[in-house]
Amino acid sequence: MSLAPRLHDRLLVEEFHADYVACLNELRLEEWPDFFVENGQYGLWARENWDAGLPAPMFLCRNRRQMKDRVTAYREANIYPDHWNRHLISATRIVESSEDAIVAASNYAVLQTRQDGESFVYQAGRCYDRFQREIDRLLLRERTIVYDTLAVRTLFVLPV
Amino acid sequence: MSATMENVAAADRQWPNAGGTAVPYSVFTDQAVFDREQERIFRGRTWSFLGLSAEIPEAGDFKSTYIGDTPVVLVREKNGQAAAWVNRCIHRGAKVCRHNRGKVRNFTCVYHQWQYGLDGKLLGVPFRKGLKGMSGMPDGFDMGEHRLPPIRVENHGALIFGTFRDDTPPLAEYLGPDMLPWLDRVFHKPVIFLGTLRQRMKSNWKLYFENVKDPYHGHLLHLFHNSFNIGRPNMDVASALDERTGLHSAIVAVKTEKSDDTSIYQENRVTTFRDDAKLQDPEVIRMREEFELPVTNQIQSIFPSLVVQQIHNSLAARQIIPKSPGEFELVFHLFGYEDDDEELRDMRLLQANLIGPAGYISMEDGEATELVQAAVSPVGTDASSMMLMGEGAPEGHKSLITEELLRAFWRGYRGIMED
Repeated sequence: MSLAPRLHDRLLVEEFHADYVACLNELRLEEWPDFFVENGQYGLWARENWDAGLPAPMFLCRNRRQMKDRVTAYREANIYPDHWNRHLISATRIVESSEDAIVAASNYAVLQTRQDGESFVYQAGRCYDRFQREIDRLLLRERTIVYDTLAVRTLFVLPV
Repeated sequence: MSATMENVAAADRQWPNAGGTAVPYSVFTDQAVFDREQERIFRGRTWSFLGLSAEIPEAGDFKSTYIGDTPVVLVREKNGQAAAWVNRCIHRGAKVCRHNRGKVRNFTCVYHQWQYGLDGKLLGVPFRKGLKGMSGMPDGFDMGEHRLPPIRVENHGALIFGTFRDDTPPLAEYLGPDMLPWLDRVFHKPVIFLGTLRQRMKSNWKLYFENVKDPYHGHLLHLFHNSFNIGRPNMDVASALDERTGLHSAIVAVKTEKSDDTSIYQENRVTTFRDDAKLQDPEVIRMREEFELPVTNQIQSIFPSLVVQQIHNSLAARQIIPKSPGEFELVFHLFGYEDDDEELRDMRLLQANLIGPAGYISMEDGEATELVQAAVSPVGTDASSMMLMGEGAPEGHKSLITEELLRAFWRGYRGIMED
């Protein structure tokens, strides 16, 4: 592929990431499912399981309704320490590109800050994204996150 | 008297009574108590969970794990038996196995390349005869007399346990007649291993052991069912307690009939109860009846390191690994059965959402134990808890609103620690 369409794809994906992490960093969680198509999948797997071909996820939503339920649980049901997540995404690569889809891979890190005001690396890992092209933007068909930070500190409640 | 003994004696004096209704918070914070637990409990006459048989199906398969704070390797021998040994080279004390999981023919310590068989027996010492006839090990050194410190291993079905001691009772006797029916209910056919989830808590391991013996917190801390107005079936609670020591127990909820009756929450002014929210996709709580007894929840704790869980179709062996007085790791070993059909396998994976670090109805446990640890640490020397729910009630442990299993646990714990 020549440079111009490659750059175009990269810009689309990076713009998507910027919007996505802004939504999460700012805790506008009700908007989070809208980054996915209706039957989009969002899941996290520990790297030790992923590499060994073991299927158990830590967190899995197989459609947007399940994502909305997670958001409701975060707002209404779950008990957790108050915290902020700050997402860093880097080294985005376009893996595949076609007329209607883009597959991209990125590194990510989440810095977490709790009530004591100290920040720590909550998660490091990679995300593998299958996007569907819309007219002027992308939607996720599938976001697969494989996290290196196997020992999850206390709990996991906010999507990354 | 050593400093350690003095500290322990001081902690002993703080138990306000023998009934287990009041636990001095220092047992969650005191390094001397932690050290004594390693000696009396984890290296004492107890069986610790090491892994599922399905984690190491073939000869040479191994996993690194712990008994208490001691690193241990669990491995499948060539003869098909599971073996375990302390992961510490007999030469200079280096960790022999440096990986979490894998498959090997034998083990070699990287420091001086001392080599061990799967069973932990010493197989090779480089330059044992010296170099060009000079030096080397003394003539009397017999390789056959040396091995990695062995752990006695027994399994009950798919569960593999280890103990340091020769005088620990046989595993089946240790588990006992009160616990075996509940374990065997879950491990009634061959299992497959689905993966590991790890959670690191800044709290004492016993706070988690209390948590899984505490049915009182269930509907109050975990608000998932209440918040989504999920009509819970009417349930009979059939808790079981190992009457011999009080240390093992099971809390089992058996479905009797469907009910959308939520009045109990309203009458008792459970402030978090709401009746307007609904799950948009209830697939995550859809349960397939797959057991003879229609149990929706079974949480069974086998002292000191295992919690077996059946929540709907989600199955896991949870391992408790103490790191320090103020920290432990909780390792969920998720499993299914070999004969699961594709739909049931998919249901188990989706229901992983219910448990683990991100569990709809388990994530709060980590936070609760950390809230306790944070608050008891500064005052640890002279304050204690108050656990009176169901105190004195006959058959008190057969209710949800009881703390009898906790009291029994603490009486048993003192029995071991002060023996």
